[in-house]
Amino acid sequence: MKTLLVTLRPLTAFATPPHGDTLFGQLCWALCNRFGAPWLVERLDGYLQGKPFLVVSDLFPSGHWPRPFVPPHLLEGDLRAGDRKKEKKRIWFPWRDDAGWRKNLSSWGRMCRDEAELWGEERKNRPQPHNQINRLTGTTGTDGFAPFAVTQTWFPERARLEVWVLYDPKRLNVAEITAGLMDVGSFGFGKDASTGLGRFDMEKTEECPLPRQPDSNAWLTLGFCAPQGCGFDGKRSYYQPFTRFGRHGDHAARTGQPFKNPILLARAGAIWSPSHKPLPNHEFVGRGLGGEEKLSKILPATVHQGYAPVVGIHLPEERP
Amino acid sequence: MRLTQIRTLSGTIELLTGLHIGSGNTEMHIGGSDSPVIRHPHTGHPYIPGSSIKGKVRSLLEWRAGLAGVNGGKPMSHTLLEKAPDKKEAKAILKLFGISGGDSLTEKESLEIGPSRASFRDCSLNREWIDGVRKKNLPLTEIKMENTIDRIRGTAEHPRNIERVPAGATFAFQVSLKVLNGETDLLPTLLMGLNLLQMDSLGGSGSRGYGKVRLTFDDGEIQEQFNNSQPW
Repeated sequence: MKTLLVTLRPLTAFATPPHGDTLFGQLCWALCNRFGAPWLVERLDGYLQGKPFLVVSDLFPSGHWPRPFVPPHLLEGDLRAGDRKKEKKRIWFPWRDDAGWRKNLSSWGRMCRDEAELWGEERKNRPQPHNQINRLTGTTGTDGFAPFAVTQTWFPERARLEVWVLYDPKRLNVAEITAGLMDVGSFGFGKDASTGLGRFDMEKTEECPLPRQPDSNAWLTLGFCAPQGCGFDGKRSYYQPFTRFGRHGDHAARTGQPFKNPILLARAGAIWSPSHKPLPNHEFVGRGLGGEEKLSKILPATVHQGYAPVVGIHLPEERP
Repeated sequence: MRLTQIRTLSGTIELLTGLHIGSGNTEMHIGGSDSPVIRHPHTGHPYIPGSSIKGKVRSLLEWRAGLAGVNGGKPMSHTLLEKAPDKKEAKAILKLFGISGGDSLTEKESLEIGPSRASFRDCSLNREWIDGVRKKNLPLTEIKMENTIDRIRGTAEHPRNIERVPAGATFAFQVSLKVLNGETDLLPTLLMGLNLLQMDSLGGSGSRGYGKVRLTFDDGEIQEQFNNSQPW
């Protein structure tokens, strides 16, 4: 697999959080629309057998990874006296600071920053009111959801986001990836794209291998992943579970059954330790989910990204 | 069905009269307007939500196509396509603006309609206009007082203040249009809808003169097509 690091500039608010598994789905539809369904089906061959053609990370502030979900005592600085609330907002770790990320995990806590430190202000979540005007009466009506509000996430003007894209160069090339991303960005990502939400511009793409700490013995995930059955050491793995109630996109969303079966994932920032040493040289962990009606009866071949790009880190041994 | 292009139509919306697109009163400010306009949460500048333009343009195109009453005043639905006076025109509207997730379509029907082709971006105020207003030490919005006059006594009742973006303000406007191979060009329908918007109004209180707008496009060819896309 090759790794592409893409820098994006959000142009509008987002109604769907920009998570890797959601972006993977949108990219698949964009590629399917641009290159045709047979092209996509060919690339999905082997997806459920651990051979993905594409693995996409969550969108992070440029130059940053998520702070690992480890117990506070493993991240020194997490429990600084006083401002606990302020400390909890420091969820972004600066990986471009080369000297910093190679240091022990215990010093990462002190290096983490909040969004106000990165961009001058934080992203804001705000409900935007909507209503549907009855064509005949010119009023908003009295239906249960009139008017209704949709929560939108607004990024500051200075915000730049990064996404790590792992791809199999035998099945996908950089031009195809950027074409797909441009299509998603120019029409909008996620919910309410047709009313202008989720638009972004692509600022930069660079080939950038995923870094790895010296003496790595665990992985830090950069996207939502499905770790079930991957043989991790439960005692030395830390994660936050998340239930994804996924939806179909594009034309499949209008078939009367837009919802997929729910799946259990682990959020980005999870730490996974393999049961066997040494740490294999993996660029992603997790599993491909779906196929054979497991996720959807409407589109039996539906798959969901349960893979996540990973960074090798050194997790210290716990004191007895 | 293959995507061959995403066309971007950009231009300017100029306000000919004050514009009010409400924020839903989610916040109350002491001394603030009873009915504030929607503002960008970071810059505090008023903007036009893409949903306001999309909804109005769709509604006007449905009125023109005789579809306003087909669904009892609600947006046209695919399940009522048989009742449409002109099925081709109705389909063009559904293709441009999309259909509800509640419409249970077969795979064949869903593929025929395809994805929503038009995406309307939020319109932000033009920087030059903001700078001009700031130089004059004026606010970006105006407050218009309104009341009801009692028919018998001739006195004012129910005084209220409405916040508006004043006439003369200019907004950057952008619509993306997906072009799929082998299908009828939907651009003329979209431009006709935007022409109808120019004839009607945007935002609240249109029947009282609010929200009259003028659209100009950056691309000369599109502008000419727009000028020629008269609905009647």
